[in-house]
Amino acid sequence: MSLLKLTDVAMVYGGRVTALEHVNLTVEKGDWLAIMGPSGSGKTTLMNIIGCMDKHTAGQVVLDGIDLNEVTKNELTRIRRDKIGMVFQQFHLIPYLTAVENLMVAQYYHSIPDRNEAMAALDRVGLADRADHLPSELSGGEQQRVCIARALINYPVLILADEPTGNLDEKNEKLVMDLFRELNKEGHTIITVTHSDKVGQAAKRIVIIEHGHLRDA
Amino acid sequence: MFWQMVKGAILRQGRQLLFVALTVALGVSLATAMLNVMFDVGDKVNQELKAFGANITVTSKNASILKDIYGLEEGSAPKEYLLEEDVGKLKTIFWTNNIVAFSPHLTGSIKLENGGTVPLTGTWFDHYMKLPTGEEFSTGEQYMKSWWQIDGAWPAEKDAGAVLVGKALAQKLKVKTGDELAYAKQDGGRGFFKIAGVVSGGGEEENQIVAQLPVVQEALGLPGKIDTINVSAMTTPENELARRAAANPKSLSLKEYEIWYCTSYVSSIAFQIEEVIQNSVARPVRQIAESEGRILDKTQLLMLLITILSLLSATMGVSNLVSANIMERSRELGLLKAIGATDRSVVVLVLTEIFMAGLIGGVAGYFAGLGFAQIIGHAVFGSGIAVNMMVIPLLIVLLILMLLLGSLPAIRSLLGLHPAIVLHGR
Amino acid sequence: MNIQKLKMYFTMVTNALLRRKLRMFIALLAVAIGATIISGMITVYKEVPEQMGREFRAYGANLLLLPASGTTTIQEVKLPAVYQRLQGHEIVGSAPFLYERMKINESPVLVGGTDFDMVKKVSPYWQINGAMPAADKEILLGHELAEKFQAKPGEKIILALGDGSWESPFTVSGIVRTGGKEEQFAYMDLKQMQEIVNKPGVISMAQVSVVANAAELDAFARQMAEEEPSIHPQTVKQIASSEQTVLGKLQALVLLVTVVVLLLTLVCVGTTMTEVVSERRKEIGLKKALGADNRNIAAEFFGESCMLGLLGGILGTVCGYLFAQAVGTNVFGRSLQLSIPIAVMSVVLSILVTAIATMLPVRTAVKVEPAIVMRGE
Repeated sequence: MSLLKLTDVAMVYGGRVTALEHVNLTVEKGDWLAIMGPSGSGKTTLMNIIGCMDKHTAGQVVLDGIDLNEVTKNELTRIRRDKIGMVFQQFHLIPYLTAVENLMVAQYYHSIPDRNEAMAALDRVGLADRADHLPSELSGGEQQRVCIARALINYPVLILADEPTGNLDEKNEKLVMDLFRELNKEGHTIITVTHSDKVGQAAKRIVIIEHGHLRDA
Repeated sequence: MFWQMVKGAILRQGRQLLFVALTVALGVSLATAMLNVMFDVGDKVNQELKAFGANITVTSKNASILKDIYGLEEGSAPKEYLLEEDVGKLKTIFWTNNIVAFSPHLTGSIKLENGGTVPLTGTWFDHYMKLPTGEEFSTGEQYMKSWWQIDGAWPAEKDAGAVLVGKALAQKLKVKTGDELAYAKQDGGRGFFKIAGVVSGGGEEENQIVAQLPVVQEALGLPGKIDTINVSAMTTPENELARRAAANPKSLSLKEYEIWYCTSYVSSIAFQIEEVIQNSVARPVRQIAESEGRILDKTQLLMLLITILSLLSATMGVSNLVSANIMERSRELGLLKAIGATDRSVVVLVLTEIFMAGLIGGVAGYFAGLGFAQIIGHAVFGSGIAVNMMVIPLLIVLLILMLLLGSLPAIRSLLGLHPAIVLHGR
Repeated sequence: MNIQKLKMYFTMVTNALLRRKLRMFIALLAVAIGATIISGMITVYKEVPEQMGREFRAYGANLLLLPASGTTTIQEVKLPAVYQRLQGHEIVGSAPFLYERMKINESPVLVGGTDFDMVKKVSPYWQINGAMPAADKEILLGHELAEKFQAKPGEKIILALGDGSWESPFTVSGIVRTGGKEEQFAYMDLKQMQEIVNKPGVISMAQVSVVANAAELDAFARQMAEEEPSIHPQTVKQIASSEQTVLGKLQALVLLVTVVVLLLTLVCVGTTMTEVVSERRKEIGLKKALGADNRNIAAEFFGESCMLGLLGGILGTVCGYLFAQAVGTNVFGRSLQLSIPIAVMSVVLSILVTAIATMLPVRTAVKVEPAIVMRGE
């Protein structure tokens, strides 16, 4: 069974603005998919649907065996918490919490905060020595690595990365991409949304989205 | 360009600057109300303290007309009297506007037909008079004895025989409101009192019949005569000069005399009363006059402290909100820096915007505050609060303080702001 | 919730306050100002009748103790029991008086025997040229009497009993002016007077100055009439009820001002907290993206606001107490008691107000879609 299967999915905002139409997509376990396309093509909308942050208006989405058509908003929150790890273009770390505390927040909402485990996750991204720094004391690359560690902390089935290198310089971009590559090698399923060719090429498979329609590259 | 940016900011940031203006208006209205009330509270409380009754008594020069307080009879000496026709002259003195109320009295005793001689006082209850100056004035006991409890009603002036009877006396005579009392006049004639009410005030009226002045003058055979005038006047708390003057006005230098005469000390008002009423002695009732000064001082000090606290909290509250507001715009301001604006020009821009909004809010707040003050005045004292121009410069200082204090933390963080950080949205 | 979760909750809440210094300082200030007003102004409001009431005692006695009708004297020994009954009200002073008709320089006058220390307390308005009698055989003359006898302080007069059975020279220690009836009397020490007229332990009346309002005095008078018929207490309505009128207005003024200032502070706290919440929309979105539900978000803001309210409340209560002290020492010349109920109330109120001011905007803020974190705003 596929990890994620979208069948004829559509998203219409406010009953008028069509953001997605007839989208079919299958992602297998261990896959690394890059979704590419110009601004305004519906990338973010698709991301929101896959990330369980928004509900599609038509079609079917099955994630890890769960039909998302069947669930309520609260259940959607729970599924998001259990299944998805997210990495954002703007990092979105809580500014008043240290690196390790930011990881523990994710644990807190998921189940039980565990400092040792959070420290291990930071170590995994090479930031164990920066654990007690506030986000404002970290470089962009470091922040993004904290963000990736946070995405991993609850053992998600799917890592969703939205322009993960959009705010990074080349050196840090490489660091982050290497990290993704390692994760994928370890068996993590990754979906990245990007319009950078370099990031796209790193993935195993690329789909292109244009005017709300999906096609293979 | 600068003004274009300011204009642009006002258009774009209209909502936020409106918020600053509203905040400032709120703070300024509170300050306006408090300051106006504070400056006027002295007059208002002074007005209220008139409830304690007369603070000056006017008697004839050579008369010891008073009876002792505790009902022990004093051997009566031949009396000298004041003239009723002089009473109106009280409203011709320099401090005429400070004379709140007065009432003439004529005291004696009368023989009732059902036995016993009882003390009798004649006075005005609610007397309408035309002053020599052409003004109209109503005064009398009703305006002075706020503490009298009357079971019945105040006698109406047109109802000549209507009287009040003291509660203790009424019990002794076994009479009540509505009864009639027959008495013997000085000339042997017969008269009737109709009891309009029974009065209780904890003073000598408890044992008296209080009647209309003309009736008593006729009954005692003393037409046109009175023996005391009680005067209730608004006064300034006494100081050293006033005390020296009270002892002997002639001990003052000409200049001091002028200051004293033209200040509403109880002693100078008393002195001026003696000048207009022939053959009279006007004495301050120390019990009332001195306590008044003390209460006034305390009240004003209390209000001053409360005003300071509320001004402080208004200033801090407003500057708080202003600074929160500027912080919200730090992104936009960082952008200005990013495109090459100097620190100074950004600060000047921010201050100009804030001060323009603050000025508009301040003017609106001032007028709202005047309204507030009137509401407080009417709710508490039943009269409006005088608008004091002194308040305006104080408000201006306060307004500048509010806005500067409010802009300060924001400006500080603005100067330390790196354009890159803002744009990265960290 | 288990212990680790609770710990993390507190870490989040406290750090949200501690590590966002300027922001939270501003919010804290707003709350503290509110608490200052509540604790300071309410203390003052509560103390106004009592403390100003004491100032009003400058007007003199508001209660007279007279002999019951039919008698002319009171036994002094009965007075302490009367004062006992006034328990709970501060007695500023109580001056006993014994009046007797005597002769000064052969003309009849009323002489009062009294306790001059008490007179100073009960009737602070007595204006004395000279001094009050302190030594043996000294007498205080009313202004009118002094004019009549052409007597000046330090001079001697002859005091005699009405029936001529006793006479002695007295020194005039001073002359009293009040503008009232006291000016026609002479005053001397009560004990001496009682000896001279041979009426030990007897007085004609007592003037009492007590910190109480008219209603309390009337209630006391009524109760006394039943329990101690030999003494007739009489409220001096001129003083007592006028005092109540003026005090009532003063208190109303302070109340109104308190309400106005408090309203302004509430608006300040409200807008500050709205601002605090709204500038954290993104954080709310992120937390939701991480799997927080609305209850989690609300619980965190609630915790923050309670903490803020507690800190601000304590800070403000201390400031408010300092303000009340300043009023106490400057206006009333005495320090005001710290009222525990008011302190507790102002802390609790600030927590409550802050929580409400936070939870109102939070109610709309939790509706933030987690998707906002994805759009590169």
